[in-house]
Amino acid sequence: MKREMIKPIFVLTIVGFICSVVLYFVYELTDPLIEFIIKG
Amino acid sequence: MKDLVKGIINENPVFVLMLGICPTLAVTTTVENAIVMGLSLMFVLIFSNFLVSLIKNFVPEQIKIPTYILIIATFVTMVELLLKAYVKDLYDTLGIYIPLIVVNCIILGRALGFASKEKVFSSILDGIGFGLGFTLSLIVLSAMREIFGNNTITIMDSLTKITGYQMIYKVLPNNNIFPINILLKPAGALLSLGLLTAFFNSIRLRKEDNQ
Repeated sequence: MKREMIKPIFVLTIVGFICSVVLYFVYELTDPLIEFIIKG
Repeated sequence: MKDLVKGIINENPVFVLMLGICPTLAVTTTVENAIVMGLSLMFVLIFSNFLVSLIKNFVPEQIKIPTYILIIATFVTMVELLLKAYVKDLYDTLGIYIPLIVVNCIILGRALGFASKEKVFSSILDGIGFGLGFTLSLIVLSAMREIFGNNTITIMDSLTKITGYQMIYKVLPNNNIFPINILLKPAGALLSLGLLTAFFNSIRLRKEDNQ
């Protein structure tokens, strides 16, 4: 791997990780509501 | 202030720049759909512009587009999950057009063309301006289609579960001309958009000539 590609891949990984964590919390917040609506 | 106003009138995304036409034509069957679609896009636009502007100095040139799409997709997924949880009926009605906000030209265009170069505060104002411009255009188009195509104006129907109010009004008195059903069909969407674009631009150009 070229040395100059390390920083972009690192930045993209960090951004992706933060986005996943945020989405996980939103999913945890909304999932019980979705199940409640579907099951009634 | 200039950043805020330009998205509403001079660079209106629907009637002037002709961006985001796909959801514009598809969801403007009722005013309620238009309001929710517009607000969803505005939410994504404001927060993506804010984040893109905040991290612009840390993102290398090679991964600008993937990073921005990742940020936009995160906000769109948040909107999708929230709509699914709180207003399931509306989520089903808007369908594929909510996930498609990720590839909406307005959001990507503003992220690449404005937020990645300008200051954070200007980017937020730009997001609010373009979001408002899009929402207002959708509301005008949907109002025209719904009033003349169905003789009603639906402001709250699926949202009743949250707000507790139902707001569906009959607009015109009974007559032989309205409703014109074709206005609620895809052909009617194109026809209405064409008429409103011509009307909006004639006023805008006349104003520019006078200045």
